[in-house]
Amino acid sequence: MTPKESPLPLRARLRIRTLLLLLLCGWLFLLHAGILLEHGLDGPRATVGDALLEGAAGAGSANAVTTVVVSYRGFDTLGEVTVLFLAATGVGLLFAHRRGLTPPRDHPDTTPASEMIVTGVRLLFPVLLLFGVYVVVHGHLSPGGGFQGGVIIATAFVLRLLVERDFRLHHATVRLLESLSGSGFVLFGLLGLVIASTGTFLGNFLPHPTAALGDLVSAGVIPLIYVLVGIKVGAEVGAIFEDMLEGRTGEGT
Amino acid sequence: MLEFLDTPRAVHGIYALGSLALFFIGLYGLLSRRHLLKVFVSLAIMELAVYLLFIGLATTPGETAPILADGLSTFDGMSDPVPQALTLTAIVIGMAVLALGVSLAIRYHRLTGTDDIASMKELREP
Amino acid sequence: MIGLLALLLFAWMIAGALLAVRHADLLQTVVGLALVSLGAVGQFFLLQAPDVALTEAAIGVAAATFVLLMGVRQFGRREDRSLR
Repeated sequence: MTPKESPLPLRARLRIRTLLLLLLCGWLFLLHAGILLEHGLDGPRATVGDALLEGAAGAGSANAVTTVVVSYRGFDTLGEVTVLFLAATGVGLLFAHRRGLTPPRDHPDTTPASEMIVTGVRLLFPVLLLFGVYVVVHGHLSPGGGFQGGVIIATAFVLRLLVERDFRLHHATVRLLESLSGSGFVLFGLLGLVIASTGTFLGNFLPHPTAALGDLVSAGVIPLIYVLVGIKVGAEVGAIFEDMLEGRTGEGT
Repeated sequence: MLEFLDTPRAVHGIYALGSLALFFIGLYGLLSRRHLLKVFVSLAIMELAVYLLFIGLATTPGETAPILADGLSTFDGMSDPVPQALTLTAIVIGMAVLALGVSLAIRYHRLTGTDDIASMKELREP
Repeated sequence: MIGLLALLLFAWMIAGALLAVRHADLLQTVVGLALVSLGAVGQFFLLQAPDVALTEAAIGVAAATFVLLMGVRQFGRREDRSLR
C-alpha cells in the first residue's frame, strides 16, 4: 500500500520545485526588464565606435569590423587564439590514444557510408575548401575573415572524416601549421613594436594607402595577420573535430 | 502598428525583452535539469541571449553594416563595429569552452557511467 | 519591417529554446539548440552585423552541433525521467 502512495508526494514535491523555479526566473525577468526598459531604450549617445569609425578609413581596410578585430583590438584576438589553442590541447589530451596504436574508427556494427554520399562529399570537398580560403583572404573587403573561413575549412575536413573510413588528418602537419601560424602572429606583433614607424605591438607597419581601399592588396599587415589567424583556427578546430570523432563509445580507456 | 514597431525605442524594447526571455529560459534549464549535456545546452542558450542583447541595444535601425562597398568611401551612418568585434571573439571562445566541456563530460561518463550532476560527489569533503 | 521580423525571429528562438530545455530526448535538445542558432543568424543579419552572422552560422550551427552530437553518441539519447 505504501509503495503506491509514496510516488504521489514525490510528484507533488517536484511540482512545487518547478513552480518555485518558474517564479524565481519570472521575478528576475521582470526586474531586469524594468531596469532595461527604463534606462536602455534610447541607444548609446556617443560611443568608442564612433571615434574608431572616423579613424578606420585611414587604416585602409574596407571592413571596419576587421580593422577593429585585428588592428585596434588585436590583443584581444591574440588572447582568443590562445584560448582556442588551450582548448584544442585539452581535447587532444583527453582523447589521447597510445602512440603507435591508432584505434579503428567505427564501432564494429556501424554500416559504412553509401557510395553516393562518399562521392558527393569528395566532389564537395574542394569547393568548400575554396570557399573557406576565399572567405579568409577577403576578410578586409567583405564580411568574413580568419575565424569564419577557418571554421569553414575545418567543416570541410570533418565532412570527409565522417564519411570515409580511412581518412585521417596528418597530426604532424596540423601541429606544425598551428605552431607556425601562432608564432607568426606574435612575430608580426613584435615587428610592429620594433619598426620605428609604428611603435606599438601589432602596429600596421606595411604601407596602407587610402587610395587602395577595396583592392585585394591593401590595408597593410591586416590581411596577412588574418590569414595566419585563419590557418590557426582551421587547424585547431579540425584537430578538435578529429579528436572527438576518434574516441570509441562505451569503453573505459 | 508596423510603423510603431520600427521606431528605435520599440526595436530596442523588442530586443531587450526577447533576449531577457531567452536568457531566463536558459537559466531555468540550467537550474532544473540535472543531465550534463542539458547544462551545456542551457549555458549556450544564455550566451546567445547575451550576444543578442549586446548588439541589439547598440544598433539603431537605419544604420547599415560597417563595410565600405559599392563605391562608398567614408564610414557615415554605420553601425558600431566594437560590439560586433567583441561578439565575434565571444562566439569563438564559447565554442572552444563547449568543446572542452563536452570532452570532459564524455571522459567522465566513460569513467563512472553517470550523467547526473547531483551524484558527482567524489570531491565532496566528508 | 525590422520590428516585425525581429519579433518573428524571437518567437522562433524561444520555441527552439523551449524544445531544447524541456524534452527528454537528447537529440531533440541538440536540434533545438541548432534552431536557436539559426534564429540568431537571422537576428544578426537584421542588426546589420554580417560578420557576426557568418561566425554564428559557421560555429553555432556547425561546430557546436557536431560537438554536442559526439556527446549524445556517448551518453545515449534518453535522459532518465527520474532526473527531473
